[in-house]
Amino acid sequence: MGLFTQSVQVVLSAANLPLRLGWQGREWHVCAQPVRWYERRAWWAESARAEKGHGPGLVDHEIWQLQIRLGERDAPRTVYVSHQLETGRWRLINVPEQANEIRATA
Amino acid sequence: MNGFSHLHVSTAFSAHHGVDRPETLASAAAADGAWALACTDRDGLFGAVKHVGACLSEGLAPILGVSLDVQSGKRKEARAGNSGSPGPSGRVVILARGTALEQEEKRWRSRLGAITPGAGYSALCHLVTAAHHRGMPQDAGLGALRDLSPEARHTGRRVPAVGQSPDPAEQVGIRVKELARETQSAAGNGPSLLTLLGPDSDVGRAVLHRDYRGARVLLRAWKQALPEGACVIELITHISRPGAPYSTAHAVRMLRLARELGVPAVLSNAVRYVNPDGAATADVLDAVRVLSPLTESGERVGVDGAQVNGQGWLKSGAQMRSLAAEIAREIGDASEAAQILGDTEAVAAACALDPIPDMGWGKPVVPEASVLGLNGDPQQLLRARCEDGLRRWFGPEAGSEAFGKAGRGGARDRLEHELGVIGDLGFAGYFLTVSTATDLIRGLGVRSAARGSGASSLVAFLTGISHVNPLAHDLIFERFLSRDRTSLPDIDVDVESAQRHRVYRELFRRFGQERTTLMSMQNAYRARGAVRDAGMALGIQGEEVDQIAKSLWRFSASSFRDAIGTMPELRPLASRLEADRAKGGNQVDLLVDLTERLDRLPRHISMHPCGVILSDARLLHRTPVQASGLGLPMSQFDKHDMDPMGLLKLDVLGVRMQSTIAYTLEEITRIHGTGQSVYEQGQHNRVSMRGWYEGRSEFSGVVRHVPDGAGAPDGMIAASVPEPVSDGALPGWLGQDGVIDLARVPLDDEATYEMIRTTNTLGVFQIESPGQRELIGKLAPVEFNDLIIDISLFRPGPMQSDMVRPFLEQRHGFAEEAYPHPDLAPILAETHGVVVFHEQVLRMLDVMTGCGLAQADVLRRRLGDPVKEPAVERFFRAKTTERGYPLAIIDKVWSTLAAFGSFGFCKAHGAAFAVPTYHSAWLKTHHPEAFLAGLFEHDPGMYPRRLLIAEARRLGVPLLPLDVNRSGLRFKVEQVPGAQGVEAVPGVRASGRLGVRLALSLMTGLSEAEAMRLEAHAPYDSVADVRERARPTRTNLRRLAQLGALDSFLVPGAGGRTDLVHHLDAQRDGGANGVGASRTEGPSKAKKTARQQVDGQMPLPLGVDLETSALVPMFGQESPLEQIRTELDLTAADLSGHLMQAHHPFLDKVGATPSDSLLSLRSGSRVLVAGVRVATQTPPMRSGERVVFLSLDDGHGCVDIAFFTHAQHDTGPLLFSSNLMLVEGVTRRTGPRAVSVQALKAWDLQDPMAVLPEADYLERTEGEWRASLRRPQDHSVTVPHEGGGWYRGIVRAGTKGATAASLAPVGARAQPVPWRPGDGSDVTGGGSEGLGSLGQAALGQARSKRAGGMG
Repeated sequence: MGLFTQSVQVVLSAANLPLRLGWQGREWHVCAQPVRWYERRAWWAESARAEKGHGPGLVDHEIWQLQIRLGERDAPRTVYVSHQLETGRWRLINVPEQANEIRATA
Repeated sequence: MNGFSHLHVSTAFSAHHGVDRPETLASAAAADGAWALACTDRDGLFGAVKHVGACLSEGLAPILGVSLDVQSGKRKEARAGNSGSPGPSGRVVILARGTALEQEEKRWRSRLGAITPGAGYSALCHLVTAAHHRGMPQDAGLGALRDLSPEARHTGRRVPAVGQSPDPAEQVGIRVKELARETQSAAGNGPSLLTLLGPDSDVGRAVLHRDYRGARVLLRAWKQALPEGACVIELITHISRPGAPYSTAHAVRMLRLARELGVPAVLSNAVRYVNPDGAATADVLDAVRVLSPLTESGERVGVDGAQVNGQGWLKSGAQMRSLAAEIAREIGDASEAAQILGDTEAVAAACALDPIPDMGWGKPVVPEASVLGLNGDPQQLLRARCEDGLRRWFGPEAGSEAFGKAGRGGARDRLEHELGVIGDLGFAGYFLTVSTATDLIRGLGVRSAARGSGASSLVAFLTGISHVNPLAHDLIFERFLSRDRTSLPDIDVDVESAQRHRVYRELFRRFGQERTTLMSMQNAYRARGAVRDAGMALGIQGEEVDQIAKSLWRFSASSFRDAIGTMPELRPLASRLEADRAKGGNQVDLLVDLTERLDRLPRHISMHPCGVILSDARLLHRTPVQASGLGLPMSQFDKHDMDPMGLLKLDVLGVRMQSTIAYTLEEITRIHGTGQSVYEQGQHNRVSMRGWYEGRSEFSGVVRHVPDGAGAPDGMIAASVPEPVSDGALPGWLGQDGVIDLARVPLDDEATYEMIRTTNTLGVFQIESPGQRELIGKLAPVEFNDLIIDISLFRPGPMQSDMVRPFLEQRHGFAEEAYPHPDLAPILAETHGVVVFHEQVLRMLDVMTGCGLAQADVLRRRLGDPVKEPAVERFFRAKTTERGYPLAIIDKVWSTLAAFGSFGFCKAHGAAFAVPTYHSAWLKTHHPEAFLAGLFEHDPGMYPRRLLIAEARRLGVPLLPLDVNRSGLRFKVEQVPGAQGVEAVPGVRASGRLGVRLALSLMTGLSEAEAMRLEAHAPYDSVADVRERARPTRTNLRRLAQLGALDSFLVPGAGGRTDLVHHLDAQRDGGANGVGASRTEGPSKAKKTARQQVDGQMPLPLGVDLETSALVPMFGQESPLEQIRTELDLTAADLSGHLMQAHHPFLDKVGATPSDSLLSLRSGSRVLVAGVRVATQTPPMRSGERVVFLSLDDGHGCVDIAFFTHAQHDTGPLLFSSNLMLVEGVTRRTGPRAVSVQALKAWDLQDPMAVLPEADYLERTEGEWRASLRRPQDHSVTVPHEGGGWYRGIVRAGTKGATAASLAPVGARAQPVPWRPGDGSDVTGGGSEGLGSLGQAALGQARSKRAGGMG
């Protein structure tokens, strides 16, 4: 998963839920209740260190499934962003194989 | 309410699963405001007692449970399930009901029904035992082995039987039927256990796969199988990907099912670590558990408990409430959150344990008096036994030594005092139990010796528990037991190692299986194991990790990263780390990080090496048991759990030295046959070898004059002047049949002390290590009490705190004995003013504060504890001031107590240890051949057997070669022709007429069955006869030939040993070249037998081996060196010569010094020494600096070498890897008979690439070395004085090892330096650093002296 990634900017609500997404120079609005989960990372390949006291976010990272649109009348599109707890960075990722299952369980 | 009651928590004691310790979890839960916390370890109650203790100290209500696999009735299915997912019925958490909060939560109570105290915990213990019992053979259809205790027969519960061994292939798990049986409590009561069905249960798994119909069926089956109310749905969300296991969606579906079938649902988080940081450790543990690298962890998510992500931590109450809200939101009913949380707290309330009524917490329990064969009041019975003992040991005929300082009246007073304390504590039953056990061991004819502080008790001595008379040694009962110390005391019993398992079985038989179990121990990760497993998880190649693991010496894995930068043997790893980083790699960095994470985590439990738990018939209600490697049941609790659970533990420790002594005594009796012969051959009439030592100045200090009337210090034996044997009168310890009663041998044999003072103590208990030989040489013991002091001094505490040096100086009269106050003089006199023993600390506290000995022991235990010590100091200062001691003295004594109090050694321990030390030294002195046979047979010490074999050569004891007609399973003493008395080594006088026959067991690869056949059928008259009747494998027959064990069949003029080996090879290859053919089993047997007789060579008793006489001499004999190599290959020992022989020409050339010539050199001589590594030690050092001690055996004896930091760096990795070394160093005289070498650098003699020194090396480098000595010694460290006069500062030796101070005049050659303690040329033994600061001028004059070449 997460094969193509682009950095994005995310604006959060007071309850720490994503509100808006800055992507490709435009601002997208989150238009439905986001879904969040924690996905494992290949930390043994991606991290330089794993010392005791390294802190949260080494083993997993937050994934958000967001329904976003540019304007009120635009059709929403579904995107996935990952939130690296170690760095605080947000990235747009590709999660094709999950889409179906997630809708079915919601 | 703030907190949240976590009902599903694995501690670190869930091996390879949990990450954090119970105390860590409990304190985090308490900090978050929780009121209760569960511990539900995987497959057992491993962390349960520690959890309860932690909860009690945090003010939490403890909950106990277990996570177990549920197995379906059909075994095959269950096993098939092991490979992939968990067993087909999944894994559940089972909680014990408790009675702490009976009044609470009425709704639940009416639903569940009450239970009686203890019912829940007892059921949990039985359940866990049953889950492990599946691994025992009876389940595999071996019903005949089933051995039910009366209780088990009654209840139908399974109790593991004596003699069953576990099948590791079997999985731990429980059947629903068994679970239901344990859940059912007494009639009218509610269930004693609650079963939580979570995502890993069969229900949870069906739900995950959307098999709702299946899930309904399964849940209904659970409800039906278990008593009303025992079934609970467990919701867990780790917020994994929607639809995956442990996702919120998974929990939501579980909740729907629960509501549909009316089963309550609770929330948990399946906790494995206290905070998110533990997730990476859990990943590594998952990898290790399933033995596959981390790269595959994606595939094993959810399998066998592997985590789906990193969310399994002890989340806070707020976080758990938000998870409940998330589930409620998803299900579309906000009220569900409160319902779930309420039910969670209700279950917590139903399971909160009240440790005392529910578990018997803290209440000591001993076997019922009836089991001990006693009727009546235990206290009266104990008194009666003591009175018997008093008459036996302290009657009118007993010597005054027996009574010690207390005098004749003292024994009675002491007994009354001890019985009073024991009576008040209610421990009479304990003493009766232990004495029943020790009686049993004695009755088996097994050598035993009590050890530990139990030796401080007169009651223990009188009841036969201990063999040390506490009055004679002035031991204090309060060190063992007092009214201020109410936990069950510890008594350790040493038995012959070879008989230990028999003793265990007999104890089980005697006390009954329902009252007896072995104790377990937790095996935790240490550096090497941690680096191996971390390497496996990272997928680093096995050999690579192995190499790293082997270079880890004496540091904990938690400081691995620091060690890489400083330890020379890790230099290769450090450069790899650099290279790895330079390439952008992270492997080595991660390896270090993960190793540090694994460090000290429990790995598994195993049988404790000595603990046996003895209790009453309710033992198995209080501890779960599982099979041990021995087949006997073992408790899941370790030694730390004994006191809290009120369990009586007897340490029955197998001691190889006891077996060695037993074997030696048997051999002495066997070979000599009569007491008269034992007396003469053992030269027991010899008091001293004064004559031998006279004129040999290097042995000054060995001989001393025995003062008239010196008695046996133990006081058990009337003072004995060795009486000459006349008219068959033998000493009391020797029977006419030649049987020696060691217990009656006087402890004052001068010849034995002479031998000890020569430091030729290899093989002697406790005093054979290099450090001990050094210390014993300096201490020069003259009596038994000196051995006690020696053993007590040789411990990390005293060695590190420089107690040894002032003691030695004062002992030898080089320093004034100083007592801070006259009141303390009687207490400290025996150790010349130095505090060595705990007993002295107790008396000092008592005398100066008047606190009483019991309170003094409580205070002593607080010394050295940074939190508790200040209160002790305040008390000490207040009391002593009140009693009028001057401030200066108070300061002085306090600084002593603070410095030594926590380091000292219990004199009772020392006394108990010194007995086998003396006994083994006595045997080595008088019966070296039998003692060596015992050493070979039982291998008791720290050295490899090949060194002991070399020791035999050194002592002049003939080693008789392997011979199928003479060698048996065991090493035997044999008569050989020879002259009387060989004095190859001072102190030990070999008889000259006795040798040791090497045993067949020496040969690797020979099975015990083969060895037994070989012995049983001897003698043989031909090779064919051996082949025919003893039937060794062909390989082993060839090996026997190679080792010369078939030499007796060789015929003069015909082929030799090598020809025989080639002949056997030819036969083995099925060659027609062979003279005969060896026999094999199989269909072609008849044919082969026929072929064997082709040449008409039947194994006829003609006295001539036709097979060997037909051998044509074609091959030359092996050279002695080739022969030694063969022996090393096949027996791991060089038998016919020393393996250093090959290097002697080279060593001669470079002018290396043989180890036995070192003594004749001056201290401070520069030498080359060489040898085979026999020991490596890295004792803890006061300065924290690591010193590596190597012992090399060069065939002339052992040389002990110290490598300080610089030498370690100059030597590098070969310090730990090379087995044959050449070392350049400087000699240091360490005692009248002791010398060691401080290394400068070393070479690997085995490495063909090594650049070894040239012939003129020492001459050529002389100037360079001298120059280096003149350079300022910037590495010296000075530790200032403390506590004036009591505590000497240490000035460390120069880095180049120049420690010589008392140098002989310039130009003197090879004169021995008269040794004086404290002259600067000595070091403290073992844990030593060079001492003494030296004038630079003197150093400049240091001359290199070396003896001539070897040979």
